Amino acid sequence: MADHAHDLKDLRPRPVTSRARFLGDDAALTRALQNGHPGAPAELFDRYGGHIQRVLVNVIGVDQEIADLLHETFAQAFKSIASLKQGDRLKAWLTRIAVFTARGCLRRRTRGRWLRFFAPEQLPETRCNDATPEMREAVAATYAVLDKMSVDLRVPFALRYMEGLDLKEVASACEVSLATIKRRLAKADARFVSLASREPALGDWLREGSRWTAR
Amino acid sequence: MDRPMTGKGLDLRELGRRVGAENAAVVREEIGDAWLDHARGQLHARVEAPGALANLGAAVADANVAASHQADLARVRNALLSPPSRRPAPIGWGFAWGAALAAAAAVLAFFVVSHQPAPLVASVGPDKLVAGAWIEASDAASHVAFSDGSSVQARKGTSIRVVELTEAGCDLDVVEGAVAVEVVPRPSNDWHVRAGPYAVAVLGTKFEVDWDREQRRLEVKLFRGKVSVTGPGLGERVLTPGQRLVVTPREIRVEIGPSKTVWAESTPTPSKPVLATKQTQTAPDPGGAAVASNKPRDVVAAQPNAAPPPAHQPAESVEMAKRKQRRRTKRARRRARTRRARTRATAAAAVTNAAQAQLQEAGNDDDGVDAEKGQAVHAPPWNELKTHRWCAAVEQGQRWGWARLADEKAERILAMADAARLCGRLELALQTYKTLRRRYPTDPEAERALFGMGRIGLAQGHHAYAARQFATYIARHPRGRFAEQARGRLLVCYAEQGDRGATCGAARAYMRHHRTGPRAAQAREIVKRCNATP
Repeated sequence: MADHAHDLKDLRPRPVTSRARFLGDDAALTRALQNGHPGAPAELFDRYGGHIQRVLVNVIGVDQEIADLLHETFAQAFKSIASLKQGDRLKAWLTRIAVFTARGCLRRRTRGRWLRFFAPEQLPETRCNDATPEMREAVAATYAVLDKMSVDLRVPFALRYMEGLDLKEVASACEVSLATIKRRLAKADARFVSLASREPALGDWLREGSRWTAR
Repeated sequence: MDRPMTGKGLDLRELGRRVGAENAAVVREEIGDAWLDHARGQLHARVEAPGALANLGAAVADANVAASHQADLARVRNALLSPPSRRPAPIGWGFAWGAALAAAAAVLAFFVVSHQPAPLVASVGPDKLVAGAWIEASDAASHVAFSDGSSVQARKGTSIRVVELTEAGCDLDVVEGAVAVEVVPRPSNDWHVRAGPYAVAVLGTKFEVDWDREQRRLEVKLFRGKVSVTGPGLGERVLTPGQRLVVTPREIRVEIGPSKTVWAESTPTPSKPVLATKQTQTAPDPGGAAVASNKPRDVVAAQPNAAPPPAHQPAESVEMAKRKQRRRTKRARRRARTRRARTRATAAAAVTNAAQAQLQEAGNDDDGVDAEKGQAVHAPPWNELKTHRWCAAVEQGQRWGWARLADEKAERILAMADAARLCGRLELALQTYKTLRRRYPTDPEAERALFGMGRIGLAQGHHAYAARQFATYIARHPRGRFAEQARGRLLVCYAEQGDRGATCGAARAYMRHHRTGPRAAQAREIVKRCNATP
């Protein structure tokens, strides 16, 4: 436990330069980014790096490529920050970029599936030390099921149920209307249940009552 | 029945009823009860699916957080924010040119470095401060002088931290107490004063910041220049000279008229930092003294070194010191009165606690109804929490706005969740624990929330759910504060579920880790039985 904490301490992001830190809310941070404040990019990353990493991991799963996608998301954000008009919507805007980056990655993988030399189960297992074996199985089975779903269904499903966003936030992140997202989620639910019912590791989860569902 | 169902709960329920009513007899005759039971199970699974999906999603997200590589975040941050590294120049045709350019660059670099503005130097008396230094003005007011002529005075009882010193300014964190800041205007100034969740950005100005950590009350008074104050619920407020901003959990108020303090009447900005350390050097400005006596405030007493003392008015200095002494006495009396009142309130609360709890139980459960109406008028429930009046805290929390808890610190969310649990509002407690875990997934308090969720599940007889929470807790915190209790309760959960294998395993695990624990006798007995009848 102690070693683990020590590792985390070592890995904690350190200030890169001695430039002045930025302080302020999202609107002020957006303005600072647009005006080229030297401390603003670091502040943006410190404020939302964890959130974006979580969104990416929830949509794609724990994967070697997450770091690249995180990098790509923030690089894209820095590049297009000038186009953000409502500064207080900074988090939602970043989430949207992350979702589109993840979607692009999933589509790329789908297109390149025929090039794979290994079956998915032969690939090295990703690290998941803290979870119980049952939980690890459930996670693996969940992403195996999600891999069989189309990207347009998978992304809203992950945002809704794993990231815990409400319908409006999911719609905003996917840049579609509320009605469309409701339709997609209904389809995604049905598809997931249909596929997951064939996975033994997910049987108990699906049979469980709805009492504990509100997060 | 063979076709997969759609995910809409209501449609499925209706469809299930119709199919069940029309075909049950036929199915029983043709296929038998076993298949029907299986089919019912499947139908149940499908009907409950949307809810179960949220549960599964939450668990997967938790596992994802646990498995996410923290190193990725640090690596990406460094890659994004570090200046790009220079590629080595190719050796070959352009070697001579390269060498010449390198020499020129070296000369240029030397020139730039030697003329680069150095970071500010801060000092308290003869002691130089470095970034990260703490200044505790415990006995007397403290004066921090900066190399650009700016100065910060910390009132007695104030804690400040120098977060960063750059060539353009300083980043100060007022942990507790009041400071008076005077920044010498420069075009490239970049000064920040932080107080709790609030931040004051400065260009060149003179102002005071008073931060009461307990009451979460911020007061900013601006005397000259311009500052921008940002923070939760505040957005960005720009103050102009003469304005005073007061932010408390209940209100945000901008008032006119802080100029009636000693600061505003003090002498012009000294060109050198004032390094006064004794209170006898107080500014004896007659105008300021008169105004201060009209409107006595804490902050007035906090500025003994606001200006250099003119040597030709010693009598007034003595008068000022006497006044300060009187104010100090008055303040001490006021504090003593408050303490006595609190003690009385606690005693009264203990007597009426049971009656209040009953009243709360009998009260309506309109969560959030009052909260929407009265966010601005109801006080937060911290006082009730401090006096251990759990139901009163829940009631007050609902009036104040339970949803606002999400903006609070982890320990407060946990305290409110515990209050709801202890008051018997288990559903509310469960939701609050979940909120805490979602809001602060890596906070140590999330560990306690996880355990609390298991306890609620067990209390309500949802043994599978409770077992999952306890098992997760043990997996994540095998030597955590509640590990013994979690292992014991997990044993109970499995036993209640009738899962023999899991119960035996849990009992063995308990004996392995807590041989002398409170449930050791129980666990030993179970292990014996498990060994006797494999």
